[in-house]
Amino acid sequence: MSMKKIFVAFSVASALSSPTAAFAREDSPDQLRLGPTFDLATPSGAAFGVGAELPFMHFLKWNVSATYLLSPGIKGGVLIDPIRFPVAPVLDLDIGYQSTFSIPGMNNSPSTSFSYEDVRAGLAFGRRDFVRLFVLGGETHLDGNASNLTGTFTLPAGVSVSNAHFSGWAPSVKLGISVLF
Amino acid sequence: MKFLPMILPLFLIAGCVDMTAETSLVEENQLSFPAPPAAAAGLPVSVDQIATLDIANVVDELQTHGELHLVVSQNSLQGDISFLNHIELDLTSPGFPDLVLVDTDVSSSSTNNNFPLLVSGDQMLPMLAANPCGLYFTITGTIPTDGASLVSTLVLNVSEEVRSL
Repeated sequence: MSMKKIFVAFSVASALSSPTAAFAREDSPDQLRLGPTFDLATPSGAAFGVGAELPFMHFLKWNVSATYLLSPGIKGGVLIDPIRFPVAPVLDLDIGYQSTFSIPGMNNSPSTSFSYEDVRAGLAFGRRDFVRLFVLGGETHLDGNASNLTGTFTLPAGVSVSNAHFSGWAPSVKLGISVLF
Repeated sequence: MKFLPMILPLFLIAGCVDMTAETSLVEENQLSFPAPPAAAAGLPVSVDQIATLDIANVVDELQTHGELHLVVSQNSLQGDISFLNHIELDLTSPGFPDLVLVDTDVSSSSTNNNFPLLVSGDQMLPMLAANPCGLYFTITGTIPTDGASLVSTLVLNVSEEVRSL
C-alpha cells in the first residue's frame, strides 16, 4: 500500500471520528454495537467478519471472521481498546484454524494445516465506538501438521518420510479496520 | 498511559522465531542371508550382509534450517528369527570409525525383534550427514538350509529447532 493510500485511510478514519462528522451520534454505554471487520494479518491472511462491543464493556471488541490464506480458515478474538482517544494503544488476542493448503506452483507440494494463537500490541486510530484502524505487531503460536513430504526431499529407494508436526512461535503483524453501528 | 509498559515487551519479542518440527524417516532393507555350506549345515555359523543408508542429502537439507536431533525409535528385524543366537549391527561411513549399534545375544524363545541401539541418534548424526552409510549386519545362528530372508526397519525420529532473534 502506498503512503498516499495510507494517508487517505487515516484521514477518513480521523474524519469519521470527528464530532462534526455526518455520522456523529450519541455514545451510549448500555448499547450493543455490531459491525463488519476486515484485516490482513499473519498467519491468517485476509479476514472478513463481524465485530461486537457488549454493553458497558466497550473497551473490548469481540470478533469472529472467515479467513483465507490459500484455503479457508476461521478465527475469533478480542481486541482490548481501553482508551477512548483518536490514537490509542491496543492489545489483540486471536485464536484460529487454517485448513489444509498446498503451495501453489510447486510440483508434488507438501500440504499443511495449523491452528494458531496470536498476541499482538499496537495502535488504533479513529473513533473507538465507530470506525477504528489498527496497526499491530506481536507473536503467533503455531501448531500444525505437514503431509506429503516425499516430494520435498530426494529420498533413496527404501526410505520414506512420515507426516511432520510443527509448533512454536513466529512474528505476526496485522492491519485491520472495524466499523461499529 | 499505564497501558504502554504492558505492551512494550510484546514489541520487543516481535521478530523472535522459536519453532520445532518433528518427522520420522523410515528405512527398510531386504536382507538375504545365503544358505550355509553343506558341511556347516545344522551348525551355528556367522554370516553378514550390508545395506546402504543414504539420507545424507535429507539430513544436510534439514540442517540448513536449524539444529537437528535424532532419536532411533525402532530398529527391528521382521521375519523368522528363531534361528538367531547373536546379532551385531555396525554403522560404517568413510572417514569415520565404525559405530557398533547393536551387539546382543538373542534367545531362541525370544519374540522380541526390536533391538535397542547402544548409541544415541545424535552420535550417528555426523556420519549420516556426511556420506551414504553402510549398515553392516552380522548374524550368528543355525541358518536354515534354504537361507534366511529378513526385513530390517530403522525408524529415525528427526526433530529440528529453528530459533532466531
